[in-house]
Formats: sequence, C-alpha cells, structure tokens
Amino acid sequence: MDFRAFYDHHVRFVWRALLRTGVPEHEVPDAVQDVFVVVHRKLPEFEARSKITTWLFAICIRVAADRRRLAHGRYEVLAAHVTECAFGGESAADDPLVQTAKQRARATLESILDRMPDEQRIVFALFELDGMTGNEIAELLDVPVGTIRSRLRLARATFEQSVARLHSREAASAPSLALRPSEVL
Amino acid sequence: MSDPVRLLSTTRDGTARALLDSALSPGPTNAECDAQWSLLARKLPQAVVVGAAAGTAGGALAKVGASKAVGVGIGALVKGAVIVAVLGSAAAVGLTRPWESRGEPAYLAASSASSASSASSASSASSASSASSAVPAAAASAVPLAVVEASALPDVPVAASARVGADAPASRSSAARRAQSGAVETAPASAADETALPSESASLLRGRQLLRASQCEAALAELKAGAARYPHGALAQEREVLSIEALACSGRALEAGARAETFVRDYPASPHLRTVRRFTR
Repeated sequence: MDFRAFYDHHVRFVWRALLRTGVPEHEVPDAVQDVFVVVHRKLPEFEARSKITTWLFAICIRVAADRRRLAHGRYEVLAAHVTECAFGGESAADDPLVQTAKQRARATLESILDRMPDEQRIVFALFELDGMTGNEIAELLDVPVGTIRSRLRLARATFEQSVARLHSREAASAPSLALRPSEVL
Repeated sequence: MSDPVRLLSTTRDGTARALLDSALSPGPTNAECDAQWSLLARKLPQAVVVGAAAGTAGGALAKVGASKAVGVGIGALVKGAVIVAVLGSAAAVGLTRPWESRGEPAYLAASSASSASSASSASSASSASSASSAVPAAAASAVPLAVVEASALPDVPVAASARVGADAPASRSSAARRAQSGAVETAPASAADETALPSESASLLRGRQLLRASQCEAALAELKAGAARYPHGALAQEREVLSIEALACSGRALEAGARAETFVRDYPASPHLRTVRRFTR
C-alpha cells in the first residue's frame, strides 16, 4: 500500500476524528493536512502494537490540541461568541454562525461539548454522533470499556444539564435567544 | 454489561434531538478528499520521488542504507542500495503493512469501503492527473519501494545484475537490455562512453542526491550537464528518468509529461517504464 492508498483508506476516519476532537468544522481540512504530514513522518515508527486507527486517533487528538493551543485567543473569542449566541446576550440574527436554525443548533452543541473534558467529549461524540459501540471506542482509545462507559455517563450528565438550562432560558427569556426546535427541524 | 441506548434513539426532547442531529456528519466527499490530497502532496518531502519513501519501513531502511554507502564508493553504494531495495521489496509484500491485516470498527467499514472503492478509481485517476498537474502528488503516491529505489539508482552493471524489481530481469547488463529495448536503445555505447562510465555514474549520483535533497533545479542542471557531457552514455536512460523527476519536482509538470511520453516511445522495453508512466499526461 503506498501513501496515497493509505490516505484514501483513512482520510474519512481522520476527518471525522478531528471533528470529534473539537476542531471547528471550517478548520478540519487544514487539520487533516497536519495529521497526514505527521503520519507520513512517523509511519515508519509505527510498530503495530495498537491498531492503526488507535494510532491515527492519538495523532488527531494531539493535532487538535496543538491547533487549539496555537490559536487559543481565536478559539476563545469564537467559543465565547458561540456561547453568547446560544445562551443569550446577542441577537442571533446578527451573526452568520446562527443565521440558520441548523447552524444555531450546531453552535449550541459545540458550546456544550466544549464544557466537557476532552476525554468525555470524545467518548460522547463517538458514541452519540458516530454510533460507535463502547467496545469499539475502548479499542480505539486503548482504554478499558468500563472507563468509556463512565466517561459517557458523565458527558451525558453535562449534556442533559445544558439542555435543561436551554429549556429554562427558553421559558424565561426572549424567544430569539433560545434554541427553538421547530426552527431546527 | 452492555452499552446504553443512544440518546438520538431514545430522547423525546426535541431540543436534545435537534442538537445531536445538527452534528451528524456525512464526512468529506470524494472531491474534497482528492482536493485535500493535492494540497497534502505539496507538503510531503520531495525525497519520496527518488525512493527515500518515508512512508514505509523499507524507505527508512533505504535512507540508512544510502547514507552508509556514501564514502565507500559508487559500486558499494549501488550494492548497498540494491540490498536495501531487496529489503524494501520484502517489506512491501506485507511486513510493513500492519494496518492492512487488522480489523477496523464496524462503523469505519462503510466509509472505508466507500473510500476504498473511490480510492481505487480515484487513486489511479488522480495518479495520472496529479502527475500532469502536481508533481508531489505523483511523487507521494509512490510506486512500490523496490521499484522506485532501483529505478532511481545509477544503473551501472552492478545494479543491473542485482536488480530485484519485477521489471528488470537479473543478470542482464545495461548494454544487453539496451539492445533489446527498441530502435533507440539498440545503438551501443561507444568504447569511449564505456570508459567514461565511472564519471558518468558520479554525475548521475550527484543529480540523484540533489533531487533527494529537494534541490530540484540544481539536480536538473547537473543532469543536463551530464547529458551534454555523455550524449551517448551508458546511463542515458537513467539520467532521463531522473531528469523527468527533477522537472516534475521543479513544478514543470507539462515538460515532465512530454519528456515522459518521449521516453516511453523511445524505450518501449525499458525497466523504468513503470516509474516514467506516472509522469505521462
């Protein structure tokens, strides 16, 4: 298998992994490049002690963390902005991120996921959004399945609390600031 | 203990459902993947072009082998590199592809299958198209290591006799191969050319090293000088192959493609055809 074939085989996985490790959607293409440059450099060192996807996922996590660190200020601004739009403070209609209902929902979800520790966020995203099983995630992250379920439980609690908070805001404050499912769906 | 049921399957909360629904991603399209590859290929080391394929353990060995050989003479270099090519070849049949023998999560199977099907067509198509439009793409979608490594070597008789690439029968001198390769190749090198072989090899080696160091223009100049100095040299084919790669490496894909087509026409039985065809338009 040459590198192009390797790329073709794994690019969708890497793309998805970056999305799930917190790289903003518009930055995923750049992050994909970063990952495969690292992979190209490190592939000879891969010793098959773990699955290739586990190895790739670990690289994705590092790349995502690096991008967050390097663009910390930018991310903070974006995160604050998204949170503000989702949870109140600015008119949604003024922001391109929230011009459509789907974008609003997405931004809201991102802000909720950002409140989770990385390890919980990843498990939550892989399980709830990508439909992976606990065993698959355990294998991918190379941690016991019990740990995965524990992280999922905690992540779900955070998610449910955030949704409850949205409901209470929706009931109490200006309708334009709250997420309206009828708009989203 | 089994997994809990997914929220999307159970929740009746419209808000929660909408939030989760918003993040379901179909993933990148084939076109996006190909576009990404084009960009990525420009970032990968140019050295892949001449066999230092960092993407394989064999490539790593090749680099070690080549660097050790420097300083012990061209013959030793060629022998060492050919041995490395043997190792690379052995590795290429399975020793360095652990990811292929291991299973993937079921959720990946669908995307992998779709990518594999698209990859097989996209790979060949994009190899051809990228060869004409973007050099590194052609370079990085590397041909098997042993073939690249051997083809990139100055093909002095030692290499020819020890070649392990599938395209080149063993125990054939380059003169003998040339005699079988068609009209252009039937002209034997002159005695003067044969005696100039060591210096011609040295020139070729310098060109190859420059190419490996991604000094594409310098490599091209060296190879051009070699061609002027040894117009009927025994290593004309090998020099032309490296020149094509150097052109491509310099971003002159059209010229590389044209030269590659000429090469294919002039040397229809060349052991380097497989490498050169990657640059044809």
